[in-house]
Amino acid sequence: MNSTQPNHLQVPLGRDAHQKAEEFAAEQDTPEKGKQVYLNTLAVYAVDNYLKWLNVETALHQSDSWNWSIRTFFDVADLMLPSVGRIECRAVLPWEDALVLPQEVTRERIGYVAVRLKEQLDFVEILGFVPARAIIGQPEIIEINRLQSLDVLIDTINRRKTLVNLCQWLEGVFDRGWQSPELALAGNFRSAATITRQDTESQTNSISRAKVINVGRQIVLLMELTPTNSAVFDIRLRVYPAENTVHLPQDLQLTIFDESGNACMKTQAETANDWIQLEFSCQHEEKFSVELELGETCITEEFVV
Amino acid sequence: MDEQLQKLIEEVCLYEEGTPERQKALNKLLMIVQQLPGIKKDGHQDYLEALNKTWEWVCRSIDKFKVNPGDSLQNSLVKWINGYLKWRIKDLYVPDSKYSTLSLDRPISNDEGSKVTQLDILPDSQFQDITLDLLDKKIAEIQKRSRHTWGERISRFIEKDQSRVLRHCCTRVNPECNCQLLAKRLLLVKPSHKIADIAREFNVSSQTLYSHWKKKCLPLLREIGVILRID
Repeated sequence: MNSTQPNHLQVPLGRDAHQKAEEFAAEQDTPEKGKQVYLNTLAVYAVDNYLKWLNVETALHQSDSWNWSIRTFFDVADLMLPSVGRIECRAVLPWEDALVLPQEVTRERIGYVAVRLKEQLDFVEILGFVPARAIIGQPEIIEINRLQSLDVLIDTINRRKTLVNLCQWLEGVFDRGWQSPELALAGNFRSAATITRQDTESQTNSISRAKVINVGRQIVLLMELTPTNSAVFDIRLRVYPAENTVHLPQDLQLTIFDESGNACMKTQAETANDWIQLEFSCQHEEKFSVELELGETCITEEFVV
Repeated sequence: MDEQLQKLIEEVCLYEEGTPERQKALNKLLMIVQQLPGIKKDGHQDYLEALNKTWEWVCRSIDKFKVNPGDSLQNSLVKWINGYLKWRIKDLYVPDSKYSTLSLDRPISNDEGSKVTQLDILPDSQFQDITLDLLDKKIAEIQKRSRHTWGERISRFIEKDQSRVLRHCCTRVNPECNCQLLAKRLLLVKPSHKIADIAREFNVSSQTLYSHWKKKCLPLLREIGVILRID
């Protein structure tokens, strides 16, 4: 085996794939639109099959690409993964070296899988994946050489499955790893009492939990959730150093992303910061993710309110 | 090669079905196994479906794979995979299976009432021969055959907007920026206009326009699409 040879997974396109693609293409008005639907269908079909091999649950019938009224109007090739989100499966023609994303698929996607078609439409190659947040700012074109490995796809899917449900916190059900701040901050120079006391006076109905996270160095992520009178929750996120250090590592970044992967807020530790924090509000059922980045290490936690 | 395969198989088996670790290991294993020479091929039109089933089976069953005594791991693995694939291919040729092929000489009636055989009406190109090149032609044909030109109906619906439902769905700041106008500019016109350009033209912020399009117009269009489809 020549290790320099680019190696991609191959998915066979059986007659069933072509029959589906034909059925969907036949509904369209023009050959151009029909071809687009045909190729989109093949791409979605291939990724659906590939994910089945890996035992990842998919729901073709909840996908826009499998919905007549949507695929007719939009250039969509999404595949719904239950309790994970939609991935967009874009066909790449043999002579293309980039994915061109129509504007309708630059939202509500957790990421993009590139599917290389061949002149003979018998097999496709799964070229790679880009998470939605990696293309923010330049969402229209993804060059093939910017694609990440399928490991990133697998991580993204599994992270979304294990998202932390903050509503359950109100009922006293906490996700693994989230402990009372006293416990999580036991090793911190500051006593946990000092850290949490400053909040207890004004916000008696808030719930705080903390998690020790390793970004190359151990830090503590403290999440304080305060229900308000409406369906809105106030959220305060703080990051403290752990391991008996006084200051946060310099350049540690804390970023909040909304459900579509847009960075909403960001802060960064400077020299000798004891802690950094972000405050925001979330609607009921809103999803967001928190990214902690230090040097090469980047840890993401997903939440749903 | 044997060593590499051995390592990858062991890695897969280390983890439970459905875990990300197993999925990643399967990725690596499949990439190599798919390239191994000797995987059975067949000319049946449903061979690729059989192959697809086989890869799914390999992912589920690799834990049960054992090297044949006296044979290399690579050879054993290819034989093991072919053992399953062979049966899936056999299924294709069994009469009465969903894959059973009709006799090509079987006489059938065509629309004009004259007798032709299955062979006569077979398309010139079998599906395996469908290529990107031929796709335009093929699609034009199937569209012609198909009476489902629903998209055309929807375009007409948008243009006419008889009940004015689309024109009533407008932004608060500018009634001209309504669902009908946006649908025409963004969906019917090729290439579609950019939201930012429309925003400039009507002196509305693109954010407003974008969220109106997404939150009001798209759900409305979807609803209409579904209704027309049911009609």
